[in-house]
Amino acid sequence: MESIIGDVKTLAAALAIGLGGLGPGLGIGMLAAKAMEAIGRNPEARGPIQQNMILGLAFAEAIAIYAFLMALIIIFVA
Amino acid sequence: MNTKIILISILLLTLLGVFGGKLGSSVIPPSWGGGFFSSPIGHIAIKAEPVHAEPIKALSLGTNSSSKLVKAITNTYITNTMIATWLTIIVLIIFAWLVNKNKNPIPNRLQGFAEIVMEFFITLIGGIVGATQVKKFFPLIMTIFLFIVIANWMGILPGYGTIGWIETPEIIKSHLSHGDSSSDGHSDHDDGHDAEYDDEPLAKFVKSGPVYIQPLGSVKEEISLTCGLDPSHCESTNELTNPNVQAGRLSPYLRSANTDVNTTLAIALVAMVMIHWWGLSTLGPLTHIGKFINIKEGPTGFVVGIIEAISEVARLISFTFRLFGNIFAGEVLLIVVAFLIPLTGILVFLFLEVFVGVVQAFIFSILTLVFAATATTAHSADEH
Repeated sequence: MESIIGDVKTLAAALAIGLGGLGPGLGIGMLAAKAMEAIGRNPEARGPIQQNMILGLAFAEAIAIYAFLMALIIIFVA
Repeated sequence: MNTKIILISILLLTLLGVFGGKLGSSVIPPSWGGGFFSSPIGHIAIKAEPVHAEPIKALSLGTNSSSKLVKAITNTYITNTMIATWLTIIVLIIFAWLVNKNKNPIPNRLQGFAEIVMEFFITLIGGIVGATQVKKFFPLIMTIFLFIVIANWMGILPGYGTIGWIETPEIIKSHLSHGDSSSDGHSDHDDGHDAEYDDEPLAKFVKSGPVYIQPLGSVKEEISLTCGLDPSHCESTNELTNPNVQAGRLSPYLRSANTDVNTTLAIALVAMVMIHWWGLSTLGPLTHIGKFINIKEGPTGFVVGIIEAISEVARLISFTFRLFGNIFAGEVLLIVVAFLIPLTGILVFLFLEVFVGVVQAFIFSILTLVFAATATTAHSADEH
């Protein structure tokens, strides 16, 4: 019985980070794409656009970090 | 030295590492010689490891009680991340002292470098909150940035995570059964052996001179905890009865400071307390609390206020775990890549860690600034 629980835990951790990385990956890609587009349309505003993009990246990446955290908790704590 | 010689030697070392590490043993079976290093993977732990085996007796307030709550409060250890934090502070103080020693209107290189960094942040903060308010926010934002970036960069120096003391199997067992974990004794998966034992194999250390090292090829013999405690219980023959061989787990003396949730939680708490302090002092307590308990705008305003309060807690948690997750994931990545491709696999990822270190420091400080800026402005005037 314990080996089944061990396997399910590993599967759970893998699914947590795998599926949890889909959303942030798409989000960060779309964010960066729009930022590139904006820089292309207005190269003078490069500085503020870059900084705001990094700000948005932080929020999007935080979701991926939460998913990673759940995977770690599943493996190491539960 | 000639660039060609350097590049060729890196290439040769990479080939050696690819075929000698774990990756190589999957490509070329071990019976043909693949994976000839057969070095073990480092131990990955979320909690910071203490630097000494027993809790500090002087701080245990003279209690001998065995209740877990009292022990959790009074069992004080010095952890390796604590020491890393102190080292970061020392480096920052030395840097500040060197810069301020002979201040000159025409700066030398060190002072010029410090001026570049400070000027970048002064203009950045001025761009977000306006030039008149820079002095209010600058100290905390700059300190957060400098502390986090120096702590992250020091965490990838050689020696962090590799030099430490050996936790013998007896110490590991005493940490498990003294209730340092949160299980309260019951287990729903015991199958004949004591379920409080963890099942990660121990590593083998061989004495070489005054120190113990982990020799190559030590992964071929897996030593479980029961085997380490009593060598007669081992499943395969190994040299545990040799007095020069010690089984156990490496507990490093130094570990990157932000791989500890406590460090990142502390910085996040300071940032959130200061944000609310700035909000209270700029707007006055009534206006500031009025953002969260919003009776003026009717029931929707009230619900929005509750959601704002919840999002304040969410900001604290996201500050903590964003920094912790990034730096801890980087540490785990370095360990795993060094296990898969020894010798040179880690070079590229060290560059990634340098980049991630400075980006996370920047994000933490700028997010603190942006939240402080929104906390110090009154509710926006564009009513629907």
